[in-house]
Amino acid sequence: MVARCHRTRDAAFFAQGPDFSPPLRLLAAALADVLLQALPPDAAVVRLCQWADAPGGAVAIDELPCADGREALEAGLLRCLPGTLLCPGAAALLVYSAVLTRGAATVREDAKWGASRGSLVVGPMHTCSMELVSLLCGGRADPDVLAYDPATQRRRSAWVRAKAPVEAAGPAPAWLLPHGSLGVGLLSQSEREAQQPVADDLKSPAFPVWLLHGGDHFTTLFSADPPLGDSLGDTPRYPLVEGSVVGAATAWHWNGLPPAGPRMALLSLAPPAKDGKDGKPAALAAAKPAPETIRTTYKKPKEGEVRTSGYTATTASVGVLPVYQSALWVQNVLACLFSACDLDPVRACAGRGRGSGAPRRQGSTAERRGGVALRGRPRGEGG
Amino acid sequence: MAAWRFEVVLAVKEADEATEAAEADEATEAAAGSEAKAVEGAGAAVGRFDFRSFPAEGGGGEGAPAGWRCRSCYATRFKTFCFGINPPTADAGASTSEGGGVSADACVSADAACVHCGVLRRTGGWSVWLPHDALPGGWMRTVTSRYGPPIVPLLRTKWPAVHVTLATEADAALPSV
Repeated sequence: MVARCHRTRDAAFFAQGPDFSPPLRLLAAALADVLLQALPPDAAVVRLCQWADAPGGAVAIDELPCADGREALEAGLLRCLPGTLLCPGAAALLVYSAVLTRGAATVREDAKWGASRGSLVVGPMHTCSMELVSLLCGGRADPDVLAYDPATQRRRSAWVRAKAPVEAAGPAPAWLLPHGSLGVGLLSQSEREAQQPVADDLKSPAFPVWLLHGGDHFTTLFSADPPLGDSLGDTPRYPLVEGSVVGAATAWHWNGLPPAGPRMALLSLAPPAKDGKDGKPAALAAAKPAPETIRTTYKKPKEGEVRTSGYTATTASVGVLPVYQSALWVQNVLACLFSACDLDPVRACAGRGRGSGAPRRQGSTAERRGGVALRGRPRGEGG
Repeated sequence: MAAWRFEVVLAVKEADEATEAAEADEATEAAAGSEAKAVEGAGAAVGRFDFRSFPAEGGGGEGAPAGWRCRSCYATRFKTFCFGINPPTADAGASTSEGGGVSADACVSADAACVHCGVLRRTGGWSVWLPHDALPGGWMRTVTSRYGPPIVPLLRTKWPAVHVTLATEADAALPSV
């Protein structure tokens, strides 16, 4: 929704930030973006799901043609919204619609190399997988969002579809969004675990909107500042995305789930004070793009430098252990929905019945993360 | 994080890498000779030390082990399972305090020997405890990533040197991710 506000350069959104209440037509356009990019190149129908009876029960499917352009689709969505995506269980319906628009078999094929083995929710707590986020934000249930292709080890895009080969073949199809994607980025904890950067198109998306992946929970970071005045047209420029902010920038962070949420926090992102040279204020520099091929780096301390021994002491209570516990408690909103309804979208759409299929992977990222957190447990009074 | 202290030891050339690193270091030092002279004596400020400028006392405080840690033993801990903690009263030949006992770490002589390996403190080295703000920049970022709020290292994957605070609610914790 935020990306759609940026795409349309909505002045009310820029003025009101998170207090902005979008009109239904804007919501329909945002949902059309999500569903259109999940559309396979040879398909021309978006499938919209709604509850046939009560939420969590049987699902009825409406087929909305989009061969005539996205205007017809948006009009169809606008008509269906009150009974579908504005009712209880709407998040699950959106996932169902994306899965059926993409095709359950295609989704399973997209996700087959992932750790969740084709499922869009993982673990005993039914947490949201990267495959599900990729399906909704990138149109494909791709489990891998890192910068390098696992097979070729060459740099690649994650959620952005290349426009050139498609446009060369004829008029741009309806599923091809102006920037090749929703324009949303992702910053992931898996970057540190995998020792590989996240794909450049996710670190530097078209709009200043990022999902933050903390291991087993997704939150949102976004800026409500308009683009630079001289960057009108199809290529808006945002200093926060480019890393050219001079001084501090602000961004909103939204965590939708208890116990730490729902909470909307305004963050101040500032450069280190000592980096300003010649009296000029320092700039908030962004990470450099990933090299063309994987480059492993390890900086060993040089003689004369200090290295930590791994032990820490504290004289105050520090919140490492509570953070670890929060990581176990905080779950994604979609996962909660699925858990409450006992639904698994891929399996349900594939007609295998609920709760069937391959056993889910036991042991979530939280357990691995717990190991890290506990190693940092203070030796003093504890957290 | 500001209240934490971190135990640090001095990075030195290990025996097996001293030879191969010598030539590279000689070339580096020759190129930066004048700069090295300017840095000498201000080790703590720039994050570089030698055993002469390395702080003699560490101030572990509450929660830290008593006594002092032998850097040489700690470097070989994976082979020996010895982590080099010397009890306060075990530094034979060390200086003694007025009461006849040996202090925990502040007054340990450089001639004290490690009870585990027998290496003199001035030769093998020792550890000190530094507050977060006194760590060199790289280590400050590393320990912040390891022990700080998880949102900080996550944002630093995009803005590597970003300092994250709440623009409002100054006393509240950073949001969890």
